[in-house]
Amino acid sequence: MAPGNDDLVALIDGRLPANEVKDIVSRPKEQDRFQRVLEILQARTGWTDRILMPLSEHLYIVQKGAERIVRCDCGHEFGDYRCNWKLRAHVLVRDDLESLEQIYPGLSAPNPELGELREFICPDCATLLKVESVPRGYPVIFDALPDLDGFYREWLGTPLPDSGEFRDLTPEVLGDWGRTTA
Amino acid sequence: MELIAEGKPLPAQLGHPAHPDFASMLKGDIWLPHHVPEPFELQTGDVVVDANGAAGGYGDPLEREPGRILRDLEDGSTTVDIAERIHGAVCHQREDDGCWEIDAAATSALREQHRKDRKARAVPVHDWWQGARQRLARREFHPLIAEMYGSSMAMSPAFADEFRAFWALPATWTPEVK
Repeated sequence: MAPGNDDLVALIDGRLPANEVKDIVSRPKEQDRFQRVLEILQARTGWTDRILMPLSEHLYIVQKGAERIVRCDCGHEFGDYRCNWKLRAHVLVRDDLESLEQIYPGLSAPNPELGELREFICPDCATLLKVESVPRGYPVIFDALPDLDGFYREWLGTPLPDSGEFRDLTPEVLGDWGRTTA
Repeated sequence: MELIAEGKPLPAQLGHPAHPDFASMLKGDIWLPHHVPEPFELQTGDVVVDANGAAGGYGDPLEREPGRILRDLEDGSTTVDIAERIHGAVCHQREDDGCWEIDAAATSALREQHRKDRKARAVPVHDWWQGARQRLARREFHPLIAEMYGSSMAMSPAFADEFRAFWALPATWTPEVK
């Protein structure tokens, strides 16, 4: 039996018991599941721009006019989804013992000379959107660049009206940063 | 071996991370390195005790449901100060039966305060990037980090390009001084 809307809401909120999650995961997915999840998420936001794809707990790719942008559920916008949204976030970096020991006291603290924690937060609502635990100096990770047009066309069978060029725009932004820094 | 023969508790857990108690179970010279140490030599009869934190969490810790934080406190997988500092949860243990309780009003006020603090301390990624880039350009990092990036960049020209492009470093930049 296909999960009802209450089940999907509980699933999204992490309230569904493990055995019921297992039942849903084990069954074939109904063709309209993605759309139903989007409708639940859309109803929770305060805006009417259409959600094209959820990226994480608080971030969505949204159709805004002719643009496809990343938006936090508080409304803050991170620009074109083809550029790593983290570059437009604010960050708290734990790269010394004092800040790491706030989370990992005493012997549980890692060596700050080898690794660091980067906490990316929304500049408006200050929600923690993502944490990276990486070696010192590692480039900021672009978690996902979804092929939106391919997904809507080939998986959902409902192509998006305007197709955008599918490529990573992050290097161009970094190029601009480099030119104004060097 | 003596502990096993006598059926005594073994040092299998760290205890409170800031005040580990496993060392008191062992006799002999005890060395407590603060981090994962670099290679060192062992002698016959040495005991190695390794206590590592488990995997990271998921989501914003300020959004963790009170019921789950109470469960963490009950089973000892977090401490009351961590609950306050990281989850913004104000909890206390009842004196009569030892059960944990959460103060809902104080928790929501503290969480709001944590969000304000975050906002005040966080910097635009661009600003952080500029400083981090300067440190990389001056090769201010641990020799092991230099060795790691050096070998990765030698093995993968694609990674080397990606790394230099991310930090806007010149094509001649290498992590180790040649």
